[in-house]
Amino acid sequence: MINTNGGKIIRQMHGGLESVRVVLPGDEVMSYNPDTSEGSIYLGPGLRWEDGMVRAAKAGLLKKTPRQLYFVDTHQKRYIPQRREYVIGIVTKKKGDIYKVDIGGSEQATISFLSFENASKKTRRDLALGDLIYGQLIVANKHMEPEMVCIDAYDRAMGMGVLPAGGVMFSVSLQVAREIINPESPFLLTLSKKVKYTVVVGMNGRVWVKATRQNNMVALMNCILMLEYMTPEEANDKALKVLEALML
Amino acid sequence: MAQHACELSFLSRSDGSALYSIGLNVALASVNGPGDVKVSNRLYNRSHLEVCYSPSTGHSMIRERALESIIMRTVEQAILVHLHPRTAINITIQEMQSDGLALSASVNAACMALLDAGIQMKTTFAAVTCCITPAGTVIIDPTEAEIQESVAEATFVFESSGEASVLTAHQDGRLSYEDFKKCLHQCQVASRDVFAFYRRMTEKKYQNEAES
Amino acid sequence: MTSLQVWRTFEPDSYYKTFLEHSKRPDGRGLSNFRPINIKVGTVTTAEGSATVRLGHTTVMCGIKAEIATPTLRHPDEGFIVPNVELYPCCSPMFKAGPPGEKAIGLSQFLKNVITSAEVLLPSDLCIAPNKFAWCLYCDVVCLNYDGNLYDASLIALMAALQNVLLPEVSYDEESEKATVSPERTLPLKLKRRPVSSTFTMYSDSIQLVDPTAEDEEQGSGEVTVVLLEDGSLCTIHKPGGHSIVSDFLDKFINLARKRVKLVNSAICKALAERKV
Repeated sequence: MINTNGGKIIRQMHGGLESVRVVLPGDEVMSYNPDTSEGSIYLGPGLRWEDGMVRAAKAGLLKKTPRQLYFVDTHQKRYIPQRREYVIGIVTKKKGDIYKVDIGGSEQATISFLSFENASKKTRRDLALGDLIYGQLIVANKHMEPEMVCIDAYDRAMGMGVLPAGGVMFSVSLQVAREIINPESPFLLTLSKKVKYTVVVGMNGRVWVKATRQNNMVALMNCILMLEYMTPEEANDKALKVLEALML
Repeated sequence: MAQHACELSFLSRSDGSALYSIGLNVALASVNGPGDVKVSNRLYNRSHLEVCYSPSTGHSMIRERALESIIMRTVEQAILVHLHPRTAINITIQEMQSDGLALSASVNAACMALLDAGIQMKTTFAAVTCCITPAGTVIIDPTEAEIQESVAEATFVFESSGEASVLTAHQDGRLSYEDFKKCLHQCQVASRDVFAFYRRMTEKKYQNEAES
Repeated sequence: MTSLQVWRTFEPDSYYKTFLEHSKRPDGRGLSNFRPINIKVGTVTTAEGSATVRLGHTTVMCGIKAEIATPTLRHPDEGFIVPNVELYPCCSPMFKAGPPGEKAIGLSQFLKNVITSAEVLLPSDLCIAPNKFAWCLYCDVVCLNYDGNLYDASLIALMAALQNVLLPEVSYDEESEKATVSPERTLPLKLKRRPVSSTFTMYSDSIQLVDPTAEDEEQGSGEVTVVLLEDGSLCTIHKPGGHSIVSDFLDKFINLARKRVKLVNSAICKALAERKV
């Protein structure tokens, strides 16, 4: 239940996440003054602090974690690059030592040919235009071009790199991507009972699926796309039916 | 007041869209962005805004260009444009049906579409049109016929935060200062209902998730 | 470059803000002082009526050409007034060559709106013979030098030019359905009202600047234009977006604008009288 007049009816959500209420841009969330207010709070996306008042900047659900992190959860389709997020990109251009990768943001990201596992100037691996890359953003701020890498701090791939041929990539809205990015996601586990598959989810709303047979991939794609209009619980039963129908 | 209705995410391909109707006036707004921008429009400190208005019949003429400019200047004030430098936000408005309130319907549609797209904004905004009859009474959300018979018509856009802050004022016909204030006041009262409507629509959009 | 110029070039915002903190503007004016107006009428000899207006450095020229046209079917006894504003790159680098930009269209619509709302001139007065002939007044406003506040400058130029218009007398012969123009006998237009606009730039919640220069417009966020009639009553308030205002400020604007009305109208009268001498 949601109280419309900003009352404090708070629901407990999984993982200690609390959903407070629906906010619109300009709504006052709480007053906070670092000098006088007790304790510290953390502001996540969709909130801004101005003149001692925390206000919403996006329309969505105001949520709060037990560690006093507040943020606004929105349903949006446009990806805004954030540092440390895992994304799926498409190679669009080659420029000397770097590749341009489309990650769905306002600007294309760059990736150096050296930022792959075991890459050196001698063992250079050529990427073709149109290749899919799963990687992490190490630079993403409003003043700079985003930069991607496919290695972690210890030069290990950790699952990142060029996605192999034979899979299918499609786009979903960002909240669906956030929903299924959890490897323990109950919905994905339900699907795995019926069919064996590999799935890669980028925070930029791109999902890549690979299964042994083409029609299995199509079935999986349709199942995941159902989440756009249903909650995972609702989609569970329907997805199983779709899988049975399409995988004959 | 006329009946307001709105459907969010009406278009599947755009980042945000809204079909908004006030009585018999219907406008469809679509928002794309923050996205790629032409080099000539690239601004180093803020995002570039583009508004495109197409009428229900005929080609875009001077009237439409003037409406585009009014909507652009209004929206510009509400969006936090400096958050996304070197990007563009495109707002496309299609007038579907008009009965005198095309401007209000499109401004409100634009606001709902921006909310749907998750664009960061300072505040929401709502437009209200009124007209004043020869007898001096103010009609909120008039029909085309009522506007034709009136002495003056006025459209105001208010922002939700702050007390009675007017973003845009646009009038046709002569208004005395007393009448102007009367119109402004009544439109402002009516705008509260519009803001409440925005909230209801947004709550409806997030209803499923809030309950799960 | 002197250090002041360096400051202005590299830190335009802080340079400008420092002036406002002392309730002054870089051109030396206070926040609620208008710039001097300079009006000359009859500057374009080939036009039926014309005027050149200088508002500080802003220079605007308006020429009115009259043509005989056929009235529309919907309004068979009405003539036409077509204001058109042209902003060429020669007046400011912010305008581009090519089709009229957003600002030029906004201004043209504003002038048209003021003429119709204030009923400056009844369209029926421009009719020569219903359904056959009516005057069409093409009011072309050209900006020669842009230094802000085009709304006021172009409305003053338009009003001065309209008062300068002399239309040749036209006689209509019903039998032959022909109109004969007698250029030697001319008549002025019957103007019913003389609106005057005053523009304010909003800088912040509490600071508003009267009669903005190009620099003021750039630093501020949006303009409000208040149009008053000669008796001080309100005609329209034009506010296309920009920083929000509270209605209390409108009282302040209107009081300032009232003083301006007499000043502008007497300046136009003076210019017209000078022309006649």
